[in-house]
Amino acid sequence: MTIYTKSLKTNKIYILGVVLLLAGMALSLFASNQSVSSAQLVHALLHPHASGSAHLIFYSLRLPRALGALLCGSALSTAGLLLQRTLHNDLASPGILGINAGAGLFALIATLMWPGMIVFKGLMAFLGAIVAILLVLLLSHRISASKSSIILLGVAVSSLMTALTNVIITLIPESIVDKTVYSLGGFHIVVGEQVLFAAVTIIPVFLLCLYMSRGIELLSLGDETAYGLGLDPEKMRLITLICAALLSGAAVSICGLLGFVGLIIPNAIRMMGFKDVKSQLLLSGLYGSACLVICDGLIRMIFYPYELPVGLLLSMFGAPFFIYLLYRRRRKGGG
Amino acid sequence: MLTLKNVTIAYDGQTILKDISASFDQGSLIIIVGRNGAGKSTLLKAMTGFVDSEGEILLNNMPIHQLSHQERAMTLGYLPQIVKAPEMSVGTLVAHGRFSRLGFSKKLSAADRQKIDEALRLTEMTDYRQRSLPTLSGGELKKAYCAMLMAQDPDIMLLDEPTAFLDVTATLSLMSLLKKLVERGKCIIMTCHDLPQAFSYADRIILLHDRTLTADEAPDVLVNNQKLLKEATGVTLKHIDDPDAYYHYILTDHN
Repeated sequence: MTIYTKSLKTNKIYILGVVLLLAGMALSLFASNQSVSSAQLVHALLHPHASGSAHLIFYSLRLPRALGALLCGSALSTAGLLLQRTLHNDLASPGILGINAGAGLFALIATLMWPGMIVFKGLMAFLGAIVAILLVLLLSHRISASKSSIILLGVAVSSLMTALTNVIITLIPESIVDKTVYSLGGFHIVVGEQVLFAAVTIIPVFLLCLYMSRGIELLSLGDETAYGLGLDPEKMRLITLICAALLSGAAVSICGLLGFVGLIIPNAIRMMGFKDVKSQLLLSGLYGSACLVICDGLIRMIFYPYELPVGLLLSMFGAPFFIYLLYRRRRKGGG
Repeated sequence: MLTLKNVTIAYDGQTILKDISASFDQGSLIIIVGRNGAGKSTLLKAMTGFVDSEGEILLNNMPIHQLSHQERAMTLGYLPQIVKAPEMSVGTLVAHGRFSRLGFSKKLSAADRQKIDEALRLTEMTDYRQRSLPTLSGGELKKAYCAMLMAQDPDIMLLDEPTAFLDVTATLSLMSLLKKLVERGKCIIMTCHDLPQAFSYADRIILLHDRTLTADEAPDVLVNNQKLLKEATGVTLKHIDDPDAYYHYILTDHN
């Protein structure tokens, strides 16, 4: 394949991602239902100082929800990519390694201790994400775990964090509005303040990752080679994992334990033939956003007036995809 | 200039090498030889600062650990014995050689691109630029990494078994390239298991035996110390005067 054909294909994939994201945003923001029409919602967007029920629905429900899905999709997908690159394991993702569950547990504790304090909830979610990933890494280091064993350790840590979360929810049922939405992940109750907090965390971290993309890529050459080229591999790995934890924590504080985005999107991007970290980051962010915005819009439309969590839809696609990756890996002889 | 002063390397409480002192100047090819497990690779890793050691390792009279990673990599490059083949093109790998020289923007300059092209040309890897690393043979992969080291362009290059996996032609071509780099003023320190090859190309041979640096001599001097060679390597060598021969030493079993 010539360089020209390759760059043409690359451009098409970027354009397709932007088109999908815009289509998803249009669907999420302007799709009509029994209580409001598309024209009313467009009018609300064009006249931000007007009032009325459409205005309220657009600015208090639709816009935060769409932006929340956009940010969380990008964050979870990027976090998955960072974990896969750092741990050299394409099965790694924030959901599977227990990072989301850790963030969720700590966010729940924050909700109980400081109700209504969105910033504390976000910070605690980040702390929980860090605790979970450190636990997995510590245990895997102790037992000199193989690539597959790290995944199993992640599942174990995830189960532990989920069990603790369930204990809290059982003992204090009012700690959470909707247990199903929280466990599967969704955007039913997203407020502007949450989106703002997530944005000030996710956007700078994403930009930092783009800046570090060459360093992250050097990790795939092995520590000795990366060191010889002038990188501190341990420091780079630690910073990358903290970035993954920050992104996951910020996302979980909005959408709960939404799994599989961080697994499906980065692997799909890799399968499309994108090998360099910078392209993978940009496309994971773009397609992660598009995927969640579209899925959330679709699930809301299809099952209207019922609100099913978007995590349900993702799990239906994500679980078979995970099995496919395991199968593919086994065929390639990965441990 | 790289200087080792009384360097001792231990791992898990076991001494691998003790009291190593040596100095390496520009414009010389130094080959470290010794039996399996003599500590050749460990010594190279210690020279980069990747492996902890006691004693002093000075790079241009500065303790290596006082230099930033980028400062170190601009002067000292390292190619490990076993290299990985991740999903990456040869061109991208070679471009990573410029990592320590990228500025704040982390973008390749025209000068960087020129160095990358030159490195690919010198290692005869230009046609492989778009090839993915996992599709290369062991020898091609090693050459791609050599090109990366050339693009890094440090004054001192440490290469751990660079000719392993290379066929005869590729070995001769790489050794001739290393000699050319030495003529341009580079200092190349490498490990090698092939004694005739090491003695034929090196300006200095460092012999590791019994956890110490047993000899640091020019090949034509060391070849006369048959007893030491036999004890440290299990074989002896003999110089041959054939102008058509690629190697000027052959293995013998002198008792």
